[in-house]
Amino acid sequence: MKRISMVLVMVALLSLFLGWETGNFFTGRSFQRLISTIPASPIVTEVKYEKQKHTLIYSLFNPGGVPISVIEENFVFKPGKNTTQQSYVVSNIPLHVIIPPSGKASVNLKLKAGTPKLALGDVVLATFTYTHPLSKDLYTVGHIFTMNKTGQEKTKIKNQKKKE
Amino acid sequence: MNKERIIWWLFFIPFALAMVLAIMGVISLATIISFSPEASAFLLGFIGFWLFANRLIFGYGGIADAIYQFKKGVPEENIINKKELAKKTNRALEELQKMSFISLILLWKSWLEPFRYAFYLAFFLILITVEIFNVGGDIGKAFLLGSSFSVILAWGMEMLAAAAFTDYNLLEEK
Repeated sequence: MKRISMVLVMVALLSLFLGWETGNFFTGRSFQRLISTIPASPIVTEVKYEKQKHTLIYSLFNPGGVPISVIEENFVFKPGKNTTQQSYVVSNIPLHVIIPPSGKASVNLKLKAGTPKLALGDVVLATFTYTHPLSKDLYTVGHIFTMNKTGQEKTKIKNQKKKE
Repeated sequence: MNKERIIWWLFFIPFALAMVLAIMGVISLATIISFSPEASAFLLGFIGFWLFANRLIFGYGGIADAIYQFKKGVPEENIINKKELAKKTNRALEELQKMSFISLILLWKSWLEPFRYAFYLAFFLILITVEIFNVGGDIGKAFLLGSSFSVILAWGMEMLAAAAFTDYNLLEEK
């Protein structure tokens, strides 16, 4: 009797394990298929100010399952206490940067030539216009960058879910 | 028709139907398959492998059942159908009449042996090609999962027959 009950227990455990794996397999696939069609808005993960070129380099991350094309950038410059430069606006700079799904891309923002280098406290509000292949609509994402001592700003991405 | 045959036909008919419809390219089936190719692969693997496993499952289950009946005291003649066994193993009926219960059980087991070998070999090959060589990708994995169900049942039945053999102390008899 002992061996028979052991066999039954083994078969039950194996079947449980197999059923678990099968269930996970199918829900994982359907979940993956679902989120791969959701477009997401890009997140600015890093901003770096290049003093020589007087350019801000934005690192954009696309958390969704569809590629995103950034087609335009605009920005507003607001001076802080440490500069004499007046605030100005630059619009409609055309771009063509494609951010792959779950991928990063770099976008350069050239500040107006002739203006002094960014000083502590200066604020740049950059707006990126992007589209995704599911429709022709235009979306925008705006990012406020305040100049600090190092000229670098990093953002941590919270709750990044790993795709199985 | 005994239970084994009934179950076999119950699995074979939808399987054959699915294959024929797929070959003929009936549109409805194609859309069902394209909606979830993994589910269809799973079902195909399950049903397909069950067709092979059916004989093993009922064979080993029958052995375990026969041993249990023997131990309960059912007279030997009523447990195993000697004529059927003689036909399946291609032996003369007189030969089987002379054999004891234990040797009949062993004969039955040895008759199942080539099917068991081919069955596990097929599963092993599919396991290797899908898991290691990644043939078929997701659909291959779904097919493997489906066939695993039938394999576990067949393996469980085989273990049950072996356990019944030792647990009921058949070898110590007389």
